[in-house]
Amino acid sequence: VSSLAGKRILILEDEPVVAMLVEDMLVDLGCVVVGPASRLDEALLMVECEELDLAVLDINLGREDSFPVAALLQSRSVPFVFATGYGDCATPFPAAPVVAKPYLAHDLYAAMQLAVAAA
Amino acid sequence: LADQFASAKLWSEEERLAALARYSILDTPREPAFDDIVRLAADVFEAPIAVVNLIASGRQWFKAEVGIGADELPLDVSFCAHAILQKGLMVVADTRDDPRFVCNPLVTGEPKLRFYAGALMETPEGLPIGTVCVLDTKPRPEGITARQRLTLEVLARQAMTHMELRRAVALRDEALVERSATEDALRTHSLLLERMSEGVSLSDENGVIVYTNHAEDLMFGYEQGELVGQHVSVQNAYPPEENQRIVEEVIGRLKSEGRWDGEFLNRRKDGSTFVTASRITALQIGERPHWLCVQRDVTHEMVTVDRERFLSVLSDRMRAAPDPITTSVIAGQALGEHLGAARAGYGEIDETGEIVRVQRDWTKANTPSLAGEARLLDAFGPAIIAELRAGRTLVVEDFETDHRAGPEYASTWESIGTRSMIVVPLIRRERLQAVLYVHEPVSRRWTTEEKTLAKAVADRTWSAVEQARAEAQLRETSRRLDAVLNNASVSIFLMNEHQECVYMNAAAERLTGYSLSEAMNRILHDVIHHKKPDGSDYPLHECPIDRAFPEDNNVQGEELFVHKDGSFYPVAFTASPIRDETSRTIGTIIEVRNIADEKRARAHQRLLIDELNHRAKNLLAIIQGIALQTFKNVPGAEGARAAFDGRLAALAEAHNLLTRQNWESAPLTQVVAGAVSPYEGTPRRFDISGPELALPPKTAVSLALALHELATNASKYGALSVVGGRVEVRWDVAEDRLRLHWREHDGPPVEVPATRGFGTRMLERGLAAELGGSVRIDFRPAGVVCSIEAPVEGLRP
Repeated sequence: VSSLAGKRILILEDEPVVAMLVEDMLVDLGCVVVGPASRLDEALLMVECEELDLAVLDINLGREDSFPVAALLQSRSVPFVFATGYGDCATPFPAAPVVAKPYLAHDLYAAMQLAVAAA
Repeated sequence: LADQFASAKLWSEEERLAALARYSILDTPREPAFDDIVRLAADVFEAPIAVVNLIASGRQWFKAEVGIGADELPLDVSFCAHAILQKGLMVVADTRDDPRFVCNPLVTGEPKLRFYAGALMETPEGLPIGTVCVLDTKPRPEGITARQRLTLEVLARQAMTHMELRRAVALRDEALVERSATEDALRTHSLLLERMSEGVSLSDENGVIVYTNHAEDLMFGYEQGELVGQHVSVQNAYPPEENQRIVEEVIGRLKSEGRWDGEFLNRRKDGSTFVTASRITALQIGERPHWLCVQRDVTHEMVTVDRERFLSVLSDRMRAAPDPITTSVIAGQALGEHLGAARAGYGEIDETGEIVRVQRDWTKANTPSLAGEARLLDAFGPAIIAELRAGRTLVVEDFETDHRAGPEYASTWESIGTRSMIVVPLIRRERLQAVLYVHEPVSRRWTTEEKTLAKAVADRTWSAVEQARAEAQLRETSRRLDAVLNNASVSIFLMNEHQECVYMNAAAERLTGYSLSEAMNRILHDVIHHKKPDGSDYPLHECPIDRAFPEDNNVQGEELFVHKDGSFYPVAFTASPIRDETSRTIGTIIEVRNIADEKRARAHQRLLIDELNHRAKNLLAIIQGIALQTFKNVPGAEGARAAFDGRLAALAEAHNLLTRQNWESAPLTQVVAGAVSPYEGTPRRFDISGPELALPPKTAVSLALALHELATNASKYGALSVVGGRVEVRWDVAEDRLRLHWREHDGPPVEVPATRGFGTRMLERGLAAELGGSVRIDFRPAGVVCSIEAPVEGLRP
């Protein structure tokens, strides 16, 4: 049983197939998935309304990026993990772990544990 | 005491001291003659003390003494100072009875003197300068005997006689030294006068010669002393009325300035004339005024001066000529006109040494030019050409009588209308290069001066023509270089050793916004590189470009320059030192390229690669997602899915590596480390080593996938499937071949698999084809060994 079992985790991912993949990985870890949201406004609303323990944010959402969601999460002290197709990219949130796509379930799990530990 | 001396009527203290000083005896060493005197005095008196005592200013000084052991004593303890106040002998039988001495410290204290007898030393003029005296520590109430008195007086006179003798000897020595110096000086002066190259004569106020030196006699052709007693007019060559005028001028000048300088026309004894540069000075000898004349023959110098002046003017004119042809014509004209010849010119000899080429020459009216080409040998014959080739100046007075110009060549001479000529050859690098010629239609006897002049003109013409040619070439080279530099797209700067700008090409002017004249002689750094992008000052000593000069080596790099308008622009530069012939660094050449466009292009390219990579990664993530959904509900597919995920991850990792290298190449070490990283553990299980090698993108991806397969296989069945198993990945490069070995250790016994899976096929076919080499997998019982061998040539991007 993973240490994240029962946690409420927001997924922000604009690619549906990838969103499903992440969702399956989280479910396998025993987490409760919130979303997945595929757009920025949608995600912001969920952060506002939902009780969250953690978030997995795709950085690039087509024309926009997910940094506003990250900022809101930070203001609410909710830890989060970035996922990105860009190589070693630096984000405005240096404390947040970054996993590079494509990633394996244990990569994601390690990053989420790191985020929770740092929070 | 001094007052007492002064009060004596016969002499003053000054006179007395002056008299003493004349003997120059004070503070001189001891002398035997005086020592004998004191020894005799002490002996005759049987006294412990005897002294030859001189009374100086403030002290008494002993020329000789026994029993005192000092050179001098102060006057205030002196007995003799009293003795010299009276004529003759002074005797003090008991000092305690004498009021003058009873309080004297030498009486009251040691050595407790009780007896004194002193005889006066007087100069011939009667001035007392000292005494010869004896002293005793016992009183002598009986006084002294007549014999002692006589002895003391004689000894005092004897001392004085020695003083006189010393002085006489000193005076004689001085006189001797003085006289020999005078004689030496006279001898030296007369030697100087006789050896001088200038003529020197001395005459009295009536113009009668009283002395002539050797050079003067020689110059005028007279025997030694023959001119003495004659009137100076025998020496000058002017007619009487002219002579009168010159004499008046000389006398006037002597009165006003004390001397006359000028040139003088003279007559020798044999009647021939010559010119001198002369200086006449008035001087008084005895009561009478005399004239001293110093002069030298300048006849030869005048000819030389004339030639030098001609050549100097010619050189100036040739230097001003715009091209080599004009230079040679100027020389021909100057020489031809000066010698009154018909034709003069300058011709160059071609490589074969046969053909002379004259561009243009100078000719007198109605004389044809020789401009054109001619075969020298054919025209003038071997004898004349041999002279020229030997470097000898050819002088022909008349070709009909000159044996070198044989009759078979007469037609040449006639065709060019020439009977007589001077031709000066120029030999350089052992070859006849050119000739300077002067032609006359009539026979002519050329003087030595004319030949000398022709030769001198030839020398200068060659120099001038060569120089004009070099300058023309330099101008041409310079024009070409300017064209090259100013059409170059790269900016070029030149700095001198003070790092001041001395040149900028047109591209540099466009780049910086400054014209060359604005930047000229300013420290280049201060003009174009004075600020950092943050606006702060950029000091010269920090600038890497300027280090090219001080550190004396090529420096390359990128910098930000400041445009005249204040904006910054990025540049790539190469700064190289410029060296002179002695390899000393004398400046710096700087090539500069504006790289703003390149930088933009590079940034854009980076952006594209990042975007591409992002999309590829997203695609991989999507493929991963699809695979997951596909396998999700297939029973027993978990293994397949894990294998798929691992392969996908290995592919993504290889992509990451290539993205970091702009998809140009990937370092072998990182490819290996990245591929096996999911299986690395603590403690480390992989031992990776080998020389670095850059792999092309496609090779890197193939190798990464292949290694992933090996690692996966090892983790399932091989060394990595048990605790303590290890894998060694080593490679080296030798003879242009890469040899890489994967060796598993400490794993379970290996069994050869029944079928060849994806991994094995990937390795043995895919990778081998990609590398252009061979891949072999050995399922050895002790551990799997995979050997990869490939030519390095194909592995370089």
